[in-house]
Order: sequence, then C-alpha cells, then structure tokens
Amino acid sequence: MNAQAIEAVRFRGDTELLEAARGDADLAGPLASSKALRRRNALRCRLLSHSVRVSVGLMPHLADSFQRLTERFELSGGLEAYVHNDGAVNAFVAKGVSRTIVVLSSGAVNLLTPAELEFVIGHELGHAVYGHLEVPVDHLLKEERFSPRLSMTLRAWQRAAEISADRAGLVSCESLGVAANALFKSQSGLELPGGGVQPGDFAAQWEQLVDEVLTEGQRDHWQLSHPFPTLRMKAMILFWDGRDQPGEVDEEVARLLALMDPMEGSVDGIEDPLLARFFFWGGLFIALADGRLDAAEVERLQSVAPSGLDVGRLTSTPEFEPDSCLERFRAAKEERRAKLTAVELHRIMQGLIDVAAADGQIDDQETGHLYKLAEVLGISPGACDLLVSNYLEQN
Amino acid sequence: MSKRATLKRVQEIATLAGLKGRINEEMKTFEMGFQLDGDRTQLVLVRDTSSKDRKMITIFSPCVILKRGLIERLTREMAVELLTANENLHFARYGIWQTEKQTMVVASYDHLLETLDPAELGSTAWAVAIAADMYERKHGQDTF
Repeated sequence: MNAQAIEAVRFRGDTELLEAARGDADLAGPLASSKALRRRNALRCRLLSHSVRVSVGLMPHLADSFQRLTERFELSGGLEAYVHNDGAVNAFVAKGVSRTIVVLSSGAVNLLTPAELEFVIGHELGHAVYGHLEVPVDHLLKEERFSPRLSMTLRAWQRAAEISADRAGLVSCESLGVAANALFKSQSGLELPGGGVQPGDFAAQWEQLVDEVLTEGQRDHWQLSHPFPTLRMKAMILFWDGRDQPGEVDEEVARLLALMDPMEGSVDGIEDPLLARFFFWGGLFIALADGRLDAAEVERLQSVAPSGLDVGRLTSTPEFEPDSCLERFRAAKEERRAKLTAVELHRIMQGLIDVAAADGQIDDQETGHLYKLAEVLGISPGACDLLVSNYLEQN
Repeated sequence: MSKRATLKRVQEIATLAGLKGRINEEMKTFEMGFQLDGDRTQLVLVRDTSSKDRKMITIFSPCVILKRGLIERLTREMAVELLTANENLHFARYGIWQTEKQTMVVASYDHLLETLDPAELGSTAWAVAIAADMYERKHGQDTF
C-alpha cells in the first residue's frame, strides 16, 4: 500500500460533495478566515500541557505504528501524535500551524489491539491526506449562518469523508474483521476479550435502523457529522467485497448515505429514500394495473425496493396478489409516526404518476389504482385528476 | 427559497387539495377562483409574506378597492364595522392594504409554509373567500 493506492480508494461522493461545497460562493470568505485563525491556533500548546506526546521512549509500539503509517501515507509536513486522558474510544486529527496532529484517547489505546489501532490511525491519516482538514465544517457551522442547503451539503460531505477515511483505515489494517472490532469497540466500549465481532452481524443492525428511520419519518439526521456506525460497517463490507467494482460500490454507498440526507428528496420523482416504501408498494400496485410488469418497470421499482427483495421473484410467486401492494402501501402510511407533509404527499403522488405514465399514457385501470392509493393518503379523486392533468401538461 | 419557489409550493399544495389556480408572475401571487352560492364568484390570492426566519404565506381575498387619496372614504363606521366583524370570523380577518395607487379592504389569513397541509389550505381559502364575499354581499357588490 502506498499513497497512490490510498488515493484510489477514496469514496467518489466525498470528492463530489467537497467540490459542490467549495463551489458555493458563500463558503469562500468564511473558509479564508478559518485558515487565518488556524495559523494562530494553540492546539499544540494545549496538547503538550495536558496530554502525552507519543515517542519511541514513552510508547514504542504506538510510535512504531505512527512511523510506519506516516511513511505509507506519504504525509507531508510532519506529524505529531498525542494520547489524552479519556476513557471513551475516540481519536481526532487536526491541522496544526506547521504539522498534522493526531490525538488518541487513552480509552482507544487501552481497549484496542495494535492492529485495531492501525485502523484508527489509518482513518485519521486518511482525513489528512484527502484534504478533509482544509474545510473545518464544525467550526464554520458554529460561527457562520449559512443557507440550509449549504449547511446540509457540508454535513453530507463530512459523512462522505468519513467513508473515505474508513477505507483508508481498512487498507491500513488490511482486515475487515479488525476494522469491525475497532468500530464495535468504539461504539460499545466493550473489550471483546478473546474474540471479535463478525462484520456481517454488526452490519445487520443497519436493516433494523433503516426500518426505524423510515417509520419515524424524521429528516433531522442531516445534522450528524458521522454516518450511523452500522452504515459505516455496511459501507466497509461493500468496499471490501467489491474492490473490483468501485463504481457500483460507490453508488450503493451513496444510496445508504442518502437516508441521512434530506437533499436527496429535494426533487420530485422516486428518489426520496424516506418515502421509498410508498414509491415501491404504490408503484408496484400501479405497474400491475394492467396485470403485467415489463422490464423497465421492474428495473425502476427495484431501485426503491426494500433491501433483499427481488421484484421479479416476488411478483412471479403463485401466492402473490397485486392487492397486497395496496395493503403494504396502507401499512406504510399507518406505521409512519410523523405526519406526511404536503411536500411529501406531492412527492409521492408525482412519483406514482411518473410510474403510471411510464409508457406515455395513463389508462383507466392505472387511474383507478391511482385513486385507491390517493384515497389512502387522504387525497380526493378530483385532486388526483388535477395532479395527473398538471403532470401531463408539464411532460 | 425564492418567492417563485414559494408560490410553486403553494400551487402543489393547492393541487393536492383539489384547487386549481395559476401563478401570476407579474403580481407575484398564486390566484384561485371560487364559485359561491347564487352564482357569486370570489378571487382568492396567496402571496409570500416570509419574515427573515420563517417562510410564511398570506391567503387573501379582496373585498373592495378605494382609490388612494380618498382614504377618508374609509369612514369611522366602516372601520368599526370591520373590527366588529373580525370578532366573529374564524380563519379570516378583515384589514386594509395600501399600495401607491389604492387602498384595498381584504379578508386574509396567514400560515407557516412548512407545516401547511392541503386540507388547511383548502379550508382557509374557502373561509377567506366566504368572508370577502360576505362583505361584498353586504354592500351590494360582486366585483371579485
């Protein structure tokens, strides 16, 4: 592994979102000010006075890991590492006046094995070599009043940057199991004496979390700087198992991250991940109005299908009843704890009409199915007709 | 969100409520026509009245237009009549709006855009239309 290999594993969403954020004129001024502030920062002074600097004499095993990984990452400008007294497993990296500074908590050093520490150190060095430290998001969001869109873009970028950093950590320790243990320990605080977690078992919690997020219907996860830990685990598994298909892996990871990003739902159509259940079951109900599913419909619906569900296989089973889709649509509405907003209602109806009009027209059977779905949402047939006529006028 | 985007959002919500209307680009309003009993009609408009921190809309319907410079035509009796009527209105209030050229008596109501749902928009639009029509009817008019 060398610097080139580390650059190659960077998550595409990270570079794209960073570019989008940097393209926003409102960011330029505050970013320049934050650089000026950094030149005056006193982090090193604070660390030297309240933490222990990693050296060969004091912590030889840690110093050795840092030395080896710094060379592999070809980090320019020098690096200093510190351990501070904190029982929780955590670490951070910062840009000092003239060098990069990595800080590990004592909890991390006490609880993690040398290999697991290499995952953590690799993760932090990844942030440094990918240029993540050039945009201090937390500082900027605290000090500035950006538009909601720019704030969301910056947070979405931070989460994408964590995916890249996880990959850097993973290629540093070269073991999915080690990465899973490190992530698990940092979340649970457990020691895992004599054993480890299965990455798949840890990631399986993600599916339960997805169910919960969809049922909750809340869109406030955008404020989190890190992706959900189980999402990170799932993303690492996808990356590790799909190293020969990086494009597809990045697309799938972007889809996972979209669940935390309300901007993903900012356009009409069937992209909004929080409404995926409505699009899938409602879309399938409409697509089956004429009693058959064509390949284009299957492909489109598969993109919003619940994890592990194969549309073709589902609809070809003898016991499958098209009306069950209407019931699942109704269940999605009833299970949702937050009331559907007008924007969400509009988005759902637009997405469903989009499916109905896929072949260029909306026939009576499709209209009948649209009425039934609209009724579940509390929308009258008259309003449904108006939505359809507006849709047909615009397309 | 621009004023145009706000009106576009209002149009979407109105459609969900089964209300047809159009955006008047020049006046920066969303306009809907209502058919009331006895073949009477009423125009209901929506405009963006956001404050710095909150995205708000005002749904309003004109009752009568008084030419500017003749504000004195809005007599004390008329003002008292409007205030008294306000006390008995639900989901609407009477008020006056002044522009450079005219003074307009309107029935209106405000909503936060973020939480506005189709049923609320529909019932408010009807309430405002009925209140404005009541005023016109009382004064023997059906201008709007």
